[in-house]
Amino acid sequence: MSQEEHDSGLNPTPFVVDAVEHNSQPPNALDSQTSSQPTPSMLPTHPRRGILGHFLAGLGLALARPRVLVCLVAFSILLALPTATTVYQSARSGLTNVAVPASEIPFNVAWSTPGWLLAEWKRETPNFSSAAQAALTPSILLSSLVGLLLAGGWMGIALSPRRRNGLLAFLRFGGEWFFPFFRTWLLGLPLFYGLTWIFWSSPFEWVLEQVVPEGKLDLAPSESLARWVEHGRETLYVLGLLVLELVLDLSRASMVANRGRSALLALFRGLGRFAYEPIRVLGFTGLGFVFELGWVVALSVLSARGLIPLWSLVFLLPFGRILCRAGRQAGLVMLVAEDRPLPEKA
Amino acid sequence: MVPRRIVLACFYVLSALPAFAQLPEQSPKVVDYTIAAHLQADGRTIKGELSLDWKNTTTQPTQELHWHVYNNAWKSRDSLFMQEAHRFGVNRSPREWGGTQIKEVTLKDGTPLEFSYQPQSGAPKDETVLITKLPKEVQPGETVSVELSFNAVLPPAFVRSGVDGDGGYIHAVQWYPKVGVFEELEGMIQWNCEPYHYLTEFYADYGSYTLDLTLPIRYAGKVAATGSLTSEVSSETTVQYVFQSDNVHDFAWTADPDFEVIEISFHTLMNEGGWRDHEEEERIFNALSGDNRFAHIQSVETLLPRDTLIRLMLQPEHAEYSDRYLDATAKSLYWFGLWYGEYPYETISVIDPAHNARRTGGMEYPRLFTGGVRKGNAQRTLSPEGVTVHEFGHQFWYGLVGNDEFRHAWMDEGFNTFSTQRVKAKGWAPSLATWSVLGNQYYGQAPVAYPSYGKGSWLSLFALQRWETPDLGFVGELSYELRRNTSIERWARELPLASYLPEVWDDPVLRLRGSHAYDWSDPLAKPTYTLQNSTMRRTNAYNRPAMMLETFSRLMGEETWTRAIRAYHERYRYQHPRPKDFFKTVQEFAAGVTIGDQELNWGELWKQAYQSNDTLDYGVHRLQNQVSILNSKQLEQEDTEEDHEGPWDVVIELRRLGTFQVPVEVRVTWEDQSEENFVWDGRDSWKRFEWPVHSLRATKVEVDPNQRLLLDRNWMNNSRLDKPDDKRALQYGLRAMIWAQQVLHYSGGMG
Ligand SMILES: [Zn+2]
Repeated sequence: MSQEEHDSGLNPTPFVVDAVEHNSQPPNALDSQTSSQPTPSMLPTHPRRGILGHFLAGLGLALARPRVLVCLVAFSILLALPTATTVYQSARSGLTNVAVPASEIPFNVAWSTPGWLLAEWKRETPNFSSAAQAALTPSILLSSLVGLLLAGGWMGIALSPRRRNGLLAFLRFGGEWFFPFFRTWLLGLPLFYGLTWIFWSSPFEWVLEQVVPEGKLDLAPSESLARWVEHGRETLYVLGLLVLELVLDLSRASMVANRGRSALLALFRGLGRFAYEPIRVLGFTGLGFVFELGWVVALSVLSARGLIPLWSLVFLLPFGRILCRAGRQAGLVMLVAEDRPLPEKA
Repeated sequence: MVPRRIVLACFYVLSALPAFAQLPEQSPKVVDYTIAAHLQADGRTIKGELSLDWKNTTTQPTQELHWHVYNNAWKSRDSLFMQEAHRFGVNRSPREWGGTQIKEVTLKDGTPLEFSYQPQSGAPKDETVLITKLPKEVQPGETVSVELSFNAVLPPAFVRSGVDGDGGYIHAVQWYPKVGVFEELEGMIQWNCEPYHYLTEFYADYGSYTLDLTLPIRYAGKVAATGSLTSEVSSETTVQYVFQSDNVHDFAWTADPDFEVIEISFHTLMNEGGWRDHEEEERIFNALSGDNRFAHIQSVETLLPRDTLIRLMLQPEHAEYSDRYLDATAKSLYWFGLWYGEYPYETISVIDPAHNARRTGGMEYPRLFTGGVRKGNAQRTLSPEGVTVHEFGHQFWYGLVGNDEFRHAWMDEGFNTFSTQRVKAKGWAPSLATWSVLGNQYYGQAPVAYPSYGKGSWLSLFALQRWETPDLGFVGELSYELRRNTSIERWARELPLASYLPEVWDDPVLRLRGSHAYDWSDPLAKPTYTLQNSTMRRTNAYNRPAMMLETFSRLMGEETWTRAIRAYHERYRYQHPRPKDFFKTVQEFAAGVTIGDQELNWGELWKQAYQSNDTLDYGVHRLQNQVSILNSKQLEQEDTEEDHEGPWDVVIELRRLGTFQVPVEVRVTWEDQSEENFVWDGRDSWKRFEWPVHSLRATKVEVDPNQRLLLDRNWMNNSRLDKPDDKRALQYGLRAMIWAQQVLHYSGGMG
């Protein structure tokens, strides 16, 4: 058991599921309690804020930890480096000796490139794609798992009474929550499979058969109808993915808020929380995405107009995106923990 | 848009003007068809009465007529087409079978004729070739008149023909029995009437067609056909059209009650479009005017194609594309007309097929062709422009110059691909690579493709796409798809705005080089229907011959090419040329052409490019600048060669990596930016050139710097720089870095 758990003043409450009982009780009487503790209403509690408030609080918390942010940006570069290096090496042997006809210069391969040149290079470097992909593939899984560690870090810090700034504290929280979070990650696999099965297998095929002849969109009486069905399917599926990710995040947040370690229980809590106020939690997540997208768009436009150099995106893009994700994760755990007694300051 | 009546009035005035040029005005009239056809209420059955006058234009008599009944390819799996498809591993079949039943064949005087289907090797029950026995021989120069009644049931859209099933769209092609070509083939006069092969299209003789077509009334005003409309009569339940055309070798028609019909004259579009290229008109005129073989071309104005009425039959849901279809058709009429000779007919019909009959799209018939497009295309995808130009182009290569598509598909598809890419290059800004979200296209290209592993690869778990477990004995093999790679997810994962190359633009001609990626196991000369498979057909009929033509034109120079290709078209309009006819024309016009001091040997080029499978690949093997030995003392005093001021011993080595031999230009660029050009005869497998004690370093060596040799399979080795431009690799690597960061950030929140 870590120091923080002693600090927190919150006991694990494996028996009460947050949201399930929310429906039948007033919000301020919901939480985990043991008979030996004073009633929550008598203690100072986590503030109830609007979703923007939670998000900004999360952002503030992350911004107050520049060392952590710098390390995460560096990590994002490190993780992408094998792919970039593989591509760079291949480009060095393929692209650098080609004399481009006068009609096709000036060009800058990062912006405007004759397609034949790229096609020729990739064709004459038969393993270009496979090498780049081989460099990237393990990083995808690694980054997903490290993502759990980082989520643990931000969520843990958000509810830590002392809100310590250090990188070590961040990593310690991450380490503490990694395995419980990993169990939710594993639980997520069948859920993702189930969702994909619903939309891309028999169930949706059945729906298609009701709408278009033989269930084939190519046989729909009009392209417009085929597009509506096809895009409707895709949109609903992606919304489903988003909800699943959100439920998993909520589960992890409730684990941290409740100091619980059971993944299954946390998943129920996450589901319950989502069912209890879906609009609010989706709104909160959406808000985070809007900030993140705003950052990406702004930087892309600035770089397209030549106001910032391309290389600066290597630092600035991940910085903003990591910050926004940190804000979402820290904010989410505060949102989940709202109305709960604040831990006593040590 | 100009009202239809005005367009038609202008059009008839213009088409009354005399046609220019020594282009043949009329085709030989080998066939004269009159067909009465009645579309039944089911929308797919056509009852037909056909009468044919067929003239024997050869020097030998015949007592048979051979007919194509290609609609019988859709009769059952027994057809040669379906059998060949099966052999290639394609087992799709029409949703419902169709087929043509021949009820009766007689002479005009009513004498019944025996008829039977010709069994084909590998498909004894094939019914796509019908043979009728005549009571007496048709002598050279004689004409025989035959009547035939048939019932044709079209399949739901399959391969090239058919109906859409419910909306009423019908695309009637290869719908009537069509007589084959009686001609010299392999040294003897015989019927050239191949069955419907999986890999090939059509071949028939020129002549006249009259179609008397009766359809349910819902089709009124929504019909297009190969011919010009000469009469229209409607009753309460039916509408009856008569279409007529001379100088064509096939006859197709299309109808759809949903069509939005737009008619406009080509000259209106050309004059209002502002895209006429006066410089190119002048250039073509100058190339032709000094040559008495083109004495009929008197002025730039005589080069301009006559007016033609464009009829666009558009699906209403594609209204956004009407201007793009029309623009592409008008530009095609202009460019093909300028280069090869005018389009001679009064009308051209452009068909946008119904969504559920897309398989009828992208096909050509005389005076009528189908395009095809999906909603959401950005302007610079050049769709539907590309397919429109290509299918229009077949009016020239296949329609007007009627090669044997069974044997020499390249003579239409290759010439047409070559022409299409040139029209695209003239007509529009280069196309841009795109990505799409929910069917809408946006410009940009990922620097790297996201890993994708198929079923059975455990690596797919690493990409979080699938969960795979091997057969464990007590639990069988498992494969679960965790995430579908949808367009929205791709977008969220890769954020194209930030991480894609924004502008990857394509020179349409250089794009042809993509087919170097494929195996060229069969030479171009091999008959199309005997090719290895459909990939080989695509390579050998389309891009590879187009690159051969482009290579020839660039070797002989644009002025010579302008004359040669025009002469080929003019001489073989309404004819059935063979490959040797094209080669003869090339030899005639390009004789004596030199590259530097090397005269081109067209016979050898033709043999290597067409008859055999030689690989063309020249490359720069070495570029070396060494401090001259004379000054070695000086070298010792200085740190590196980089600081040295010379003189230099410069050595370059060139290699011929394929068996194809052709004189190749070489360009050396010196450090003062001056260039030295010379020609290597390209014979030896490698060649060294030296400049001892040269005052300048060579900064760049290129073989084929003017990109004449499209057939050169690898352009990456065509140059070598003294100082490789590492900046390019850095730029690309940087994009890849930014891309990978976004992808990994995304997966950091996955699961
Ligand atoms: Zn074609």
